[in-house]
Amino acid sequence: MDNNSDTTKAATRPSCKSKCESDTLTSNINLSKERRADATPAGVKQKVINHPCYSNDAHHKYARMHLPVAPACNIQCNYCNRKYDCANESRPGVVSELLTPKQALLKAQAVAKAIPQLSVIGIAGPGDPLANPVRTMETLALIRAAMPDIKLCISTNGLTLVDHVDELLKLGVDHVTVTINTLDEVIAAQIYKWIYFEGRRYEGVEAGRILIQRQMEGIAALAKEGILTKVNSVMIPGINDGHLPELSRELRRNKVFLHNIMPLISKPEHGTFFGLVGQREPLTTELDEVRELAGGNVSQMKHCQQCRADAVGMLEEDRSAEFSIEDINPEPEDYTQTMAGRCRFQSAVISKGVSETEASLVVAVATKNSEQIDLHFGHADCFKLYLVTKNQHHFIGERRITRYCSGDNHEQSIETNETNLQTTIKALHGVDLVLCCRIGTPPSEALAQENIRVVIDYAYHAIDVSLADIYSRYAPLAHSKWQARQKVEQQKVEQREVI
Amino acid sequence: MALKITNSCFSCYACETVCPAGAISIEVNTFIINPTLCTECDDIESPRCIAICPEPKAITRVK
Ligand code: SF4
Ligand code: SF4
Repeated sequence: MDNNSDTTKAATRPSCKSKCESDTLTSNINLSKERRADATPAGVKQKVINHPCYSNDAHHKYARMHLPVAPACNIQCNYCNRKYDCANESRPGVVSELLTPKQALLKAQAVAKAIPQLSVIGIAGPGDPLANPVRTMETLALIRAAMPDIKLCISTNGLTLVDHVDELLKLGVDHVTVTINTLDEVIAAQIYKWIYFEGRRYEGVEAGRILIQRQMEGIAALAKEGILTKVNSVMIPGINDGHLPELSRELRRNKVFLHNIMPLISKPEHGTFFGLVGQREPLTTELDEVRELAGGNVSQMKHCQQCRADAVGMLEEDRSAEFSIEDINPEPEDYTQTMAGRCRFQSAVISKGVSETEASLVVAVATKNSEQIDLHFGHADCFKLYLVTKNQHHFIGERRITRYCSGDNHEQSIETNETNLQTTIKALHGVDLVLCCRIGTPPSEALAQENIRVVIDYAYHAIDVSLADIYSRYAPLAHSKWQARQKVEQQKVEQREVI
Repeated sequence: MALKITNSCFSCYACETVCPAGAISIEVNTFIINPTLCTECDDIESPRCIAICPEPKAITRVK
């Protein structure tokens, strides 16, 4: 993989109009009769609001990063040359620097510090993330434990997805992209050379049948768990183009949130089967037409950049070259500091600067349905963060944790609870107030020690109404925090002047 | 009979990921099959590593 830079240069970037349409994506939400309560309209909106790949609005404000920890693949697509990165999620013809899960965590923390817009970390290759379950899950678990303010997502060809949904759910992965090019096994036989399934290789129509069945089982399992699903399809003229609108219809019936139709890239120099046999790429007009036809069925995504498996930065850019693993400090500073800084930066972006010029509060809410304050502190595995100023409040992100009170088996682990409590408190670093419906004595004491106030008076009240009310009650707190911050900033300026 | 990884291998890790015997390892960027650990997948019809390898000549049978 030492010819990295050459192949990168050789890669042609598909022309992409990242035209900013009005924020229509959230208006066309497909909701599942899910087990997870946060698939309420408010919950889904919060899931996409800061994900650059899901929201037309977010891709100008937020950044994503792909961690290349998954080299192996279990299918051979005719538009992919396995000597390069997976062509489903990446641009063909590029090679990523492979990372171990531990290196991936170091890189993630370095990038999160340097790029405070970073909101999402995904695993997209260079092969299929779920064909590398050990490396992928270990990476997700490390990031989930160390970086509570980051969203996790993966993309997959779907062949083994259904076997991993429970684990993804446990790790707090709430976005999954599945590449589905067809629901017709005869068409599939022209797109996939073979699949590897349960120890053996299948080809032709049989391969297509197994893959399609597994993909559909996979997306059904995601819908059931309330994990947001995006489907990517590669448009291959003369092979699946006529079938894509029908595919879109079927996806809608299967609760898919977003359908991203991407153009086939088949440059002969990439050495893919399609490239070598002269299969043509679609014209922009053809792509637009198919997207238009499919658009009535499920929201279409038009700002996808087909980024590489180690992409870093805003959707329009790729800063992966700046974060080579050799240049990354193997002992990063405590992430809680980075997280507090990121939180301030994101608050400023969302409030359009208000958080920098006025006193404000960062409020963490324990909520299951994203609409009411309806959770016991110890039952929350995700706190929603809001910035509250005198006249407004904004959703700014989430902090995810391992549930501190494990419920049923109370005896089981006072010890685990102790560590979980520490993790939770750490994950809430930078928060001023916590709103929940109840809380036990140990956590409330631990929060007090960290200078975080707990408010239970709004139990079961609507979040919006409570946040509108809370500022007047805690204005003195907001002001004292504001003054303390001003003072720190002032000291920093003075120090710089002295130097 | 035994299996051997040739220099057409481009280090995609697929074989290592599916080998049930833990027979495949990476040494200085080269993938090797440990013949004492490899069972040639005698529990099924044909070797898993060959079934998943994307490079036709990367894993061969040797006498
Ligand atoms: S034949 Fe089977 S046991 Fe031997 S290396 Fe290949 S996968 Fe492993
Ligand atoms: S699957 Fe084939 S190409 Fe990939 S590492 Fe194994 S031998 Fe090499």
